[in-house]
Amino acid sequence: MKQRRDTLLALAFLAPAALLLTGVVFYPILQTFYASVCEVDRKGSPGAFGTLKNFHDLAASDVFTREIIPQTLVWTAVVVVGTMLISMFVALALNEHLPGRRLLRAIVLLPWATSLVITAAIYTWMLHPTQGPVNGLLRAWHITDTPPAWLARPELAFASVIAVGIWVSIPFTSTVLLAGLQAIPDDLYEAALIDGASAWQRFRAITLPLLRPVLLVAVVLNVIYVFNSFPIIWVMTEGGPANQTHIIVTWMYKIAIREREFGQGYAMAVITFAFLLVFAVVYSWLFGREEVDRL
Amino acid sequence: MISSPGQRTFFFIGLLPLIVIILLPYAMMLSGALKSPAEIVAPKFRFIPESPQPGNFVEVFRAMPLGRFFLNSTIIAIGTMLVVLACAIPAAYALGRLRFPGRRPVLFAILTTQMFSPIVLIIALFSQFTGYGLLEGWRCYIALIIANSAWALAFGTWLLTGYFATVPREVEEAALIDGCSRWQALTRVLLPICRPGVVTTMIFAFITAWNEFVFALTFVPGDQFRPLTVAIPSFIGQYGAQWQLLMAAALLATVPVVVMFLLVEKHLVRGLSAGAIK
Repeated sequence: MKQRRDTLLALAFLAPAALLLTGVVFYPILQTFYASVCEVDRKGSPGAFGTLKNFHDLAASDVFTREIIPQTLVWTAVVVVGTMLISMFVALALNEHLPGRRLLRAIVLLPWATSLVITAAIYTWMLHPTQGPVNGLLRAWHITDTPPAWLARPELAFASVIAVGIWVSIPFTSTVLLAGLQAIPDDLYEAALIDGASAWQRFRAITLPLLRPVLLVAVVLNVIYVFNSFPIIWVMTEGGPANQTHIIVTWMYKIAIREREFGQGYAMAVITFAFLLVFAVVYSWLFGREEVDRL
Repeated sequence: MISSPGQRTFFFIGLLPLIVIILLPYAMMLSGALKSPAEIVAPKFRFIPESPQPGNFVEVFRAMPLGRFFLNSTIIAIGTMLVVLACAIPAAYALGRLRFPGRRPVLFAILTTQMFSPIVLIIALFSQFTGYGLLEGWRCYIALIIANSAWALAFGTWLLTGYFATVPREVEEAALIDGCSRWQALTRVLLPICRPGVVTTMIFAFITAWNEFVFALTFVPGDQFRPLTVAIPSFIGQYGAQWQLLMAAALLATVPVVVMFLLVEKHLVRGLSAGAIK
């Protein structure tokens, strides 16, 4: 009796959230998959079902296969690896009893509270070739009189957006890693110290293995966030110069929303899903094995 | 963690350049926001403006409809906050307090939504919202509030479920025995106890909506409905080299959310990192 009343009440209480998530998340996912194998009109509504034309169009596009996909992989790999290495150091440092620790932690969190768009706008100004502070400092400090146009040269533009990508990812990642570090019991380190282990040995033998589940989570979440990251590139370069800083999601936005090629856009969204799904499966397989090992 | 003074010095010296790199854009933003139109385009950069121009923060409201953009951002952020509360509080109560079949799958389904990014669904949402006529005139507020709420909901529900779980059932049962309904027990007993959780959820929803970009870029039909995140980068081309005004606007748009973030930082960070670790 009580169980049934609880069930009815739970249904009523969950209804608003379920409605919202169905309308804005679950239904659009289904529509994306469905529309990717349909003919799609210029308004984005799916028409005749059962065609692989959208995927064929994508596969036939040299820009997509030879530039966008490799750039997406480089962007994701470099930003995630850079973020993990720097955040690991930041987390280890913040786990120490440093002077001004609370202030240091607040500063590290700052980029997290700032809108990605604002961050990107500040960096766009900072890297402006003639009026930007970065080149302004290079001239003022007599490092060079002819500093580069950072966002106008493909390789420098790509390096710049990658650097900003790392900059914005550090707060979240170092926070997760720090929480993981704080969960490692102190007596393990004390015991190792008594046994005469060096700092590096303690890091290798205690910190890394115990932190491994947290490291995996941090890597996976970062891959998801970075792979899907849109505002930084869109504001700083809009994919340019000559498409050299586009990644799949920015290219998808340009093709679908700007150029109204919705069919190809849906196909790219499905490819993005597929990539992240494969990644999540590999991850949970790794993570699952990890759990078994520990038992 | 125990470590020698040598190690601590190593970490401290290593951390300092990173702290400088993190603070640098903020320092440059502040410096730029205070410069005169002549100094901002000078070929050599100085951190301390020659003659600081605090008037830029007033001037920027005249040079562009910044007040209107603030209003748009505020409407969207507060709307999102209210919708998230209305959906997350009952959902968290059901998940944390009621026994019903399918509890775990429901929780899992809610949390999975965090794995999706708005950008992948933007095309489907764009075509749907266009169909409902939501992308015309002021109705784009509704589109933005609904979309932003869905993306803040998972974390809000997760956070509140955690808070509700920390309150002993006896507290609530006492209220029920005293003749309160379930609803009264929730609003008069449980929510006041969980105030930090409710406030954190509100601020999280507000910040999420305030800082959001992709939905706003896509759904907003005209200049007058633009929130700050869409308006500010559009100045980059529009207002030529008036970087001092752009930086003043960026600073004004950033300060409120940074303050809010720091207010609930501890609760927020605990919730987010617990979500990632468990």
